[in-house]
Amino acid sequence: MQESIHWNYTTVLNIVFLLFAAVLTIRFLRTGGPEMLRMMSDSHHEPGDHKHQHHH
Amino acid sequence: MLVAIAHALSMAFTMAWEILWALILGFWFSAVIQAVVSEEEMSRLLPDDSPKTIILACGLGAASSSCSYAAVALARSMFRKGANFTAAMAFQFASTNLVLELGILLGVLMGWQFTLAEFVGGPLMIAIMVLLFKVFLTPRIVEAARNQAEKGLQGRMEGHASMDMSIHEGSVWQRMTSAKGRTAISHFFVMDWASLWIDIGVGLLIAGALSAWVPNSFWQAFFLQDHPLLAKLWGPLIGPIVAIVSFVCSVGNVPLAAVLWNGGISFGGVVSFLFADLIVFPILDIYRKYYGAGISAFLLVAFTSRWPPLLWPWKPYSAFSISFLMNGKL
Repeated sequence: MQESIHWNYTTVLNIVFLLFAAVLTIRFLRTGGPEMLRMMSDSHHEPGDHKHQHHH
Repeated sequence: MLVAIAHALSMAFTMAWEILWALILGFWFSAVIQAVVSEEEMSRLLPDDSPKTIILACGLGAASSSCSYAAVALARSMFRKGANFTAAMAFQFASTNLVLELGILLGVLMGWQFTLAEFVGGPLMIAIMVLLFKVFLTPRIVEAARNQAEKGLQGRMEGHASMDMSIHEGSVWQRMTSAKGRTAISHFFVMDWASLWIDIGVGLLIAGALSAWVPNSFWQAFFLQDHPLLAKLWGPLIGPIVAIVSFVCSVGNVPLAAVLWNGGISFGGVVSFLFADLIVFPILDIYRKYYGAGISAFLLVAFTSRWPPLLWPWKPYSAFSISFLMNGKL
C-alpha cells in the first residue's frame, strides 16, 4: 500500500464517488433525513414500533 | 512520540483513501436493495429452517445493511415477528458476511481471492451453522430464547433496525427511480454511514497503528511463518481471537485484515477473522440481553465451530461443548 496520496485511478474514483455521496446527502438533508436520524438514535423505540414517513 | 502517532494516522488515512470509493459504492448498493425490500416481507418469508428458507434468508441478509449491530437487532425483530430462529440467525450472518460492500472492499484492498472466499465461505459457514442448530437446538432452547426476546431488552442500533422505509409500489426499477425511491435510497445511505462510521473509523485507526508500530518480524513470529504447516493451522485459530478482542465489526474489519495478511497470517486465518465479527464482546453481550446467557454461549460456540475445514478435527469438542452448555451433560 502506498503511504501517500497520488494522482491515479483511486483518486479519480474517490472524487467521482464523493460527488455522488454529496448528492445523496443533500437529498437526505432536504427530505427530513435529520429527523429520521434522531428517531434512529432514540434507543427507547422498539423495533417495528414505527415506520418512517417520507417527506418530499 | 508525536512522530509515531502522525505515522499511524497517516497510515490510517491512506487506507481510508484507498477504500473510500468502494465504501460509497457498497453503501449505495446496500441502500438501493434496502429501499426495495420490506422488513415485514422478510419476516413472513422465513417461517422454518428448510433449505429453501435458509437460502432466502441468505439472500435477504445479503440485501440488508452490513452493520453488525443493526443486523443482530433486525434478526431479533424478525424472530419476534414469527421468523424461525435458525433462519433469523442465517439472515444475521448473511447481513454482515455476504454483503456486496464487504466483497467490493475485500477485492479492492486485498484481492479478488478474498472476495471469492467471502461468497463461497459464507454459505458454507451458514450451512454448517444450520446443521449444528438442527442437531443441538431443541424446541425448549428456542422457547427460552423466544421468552427472553419477548422482553424486548435494548441492544445497539435498535432504531436502525426498526426503520422500514422500503417502497412497495411498482417494479424494482420504478421503485428505485421514483422520487420516493430516491429519497429512501438517500436515507438508507446516510443511515448506514451513521451506523458504521465509528466501526470503520476505529478499524482504520487500529489498522493504522498496527501497521505503523508493530514490526513485520513480530507478525512473522506471531503467525509462525517459519513453520508453514503450523502457520496454516494457527491462522484460523488465532484470527477469530484477534477479531473478538479487536471489538471492531463488519466492514471495519477489512483494513485490519489487510494488516494481518501483510503480516503473514494464512489465507484461512484472514477468512476466519472476517467471519468472526458476530462474536465480538459487545455483540455477545447483546445476544445475552436478547436471548439469554445460555443462547449467547450457544451462539459463541456454534459460530466458532464453523471455522474453515482446517479446524474440523476440533469440531467434536465444539459439539460436546454445545451439548454440555444446553443440557448440562455431555
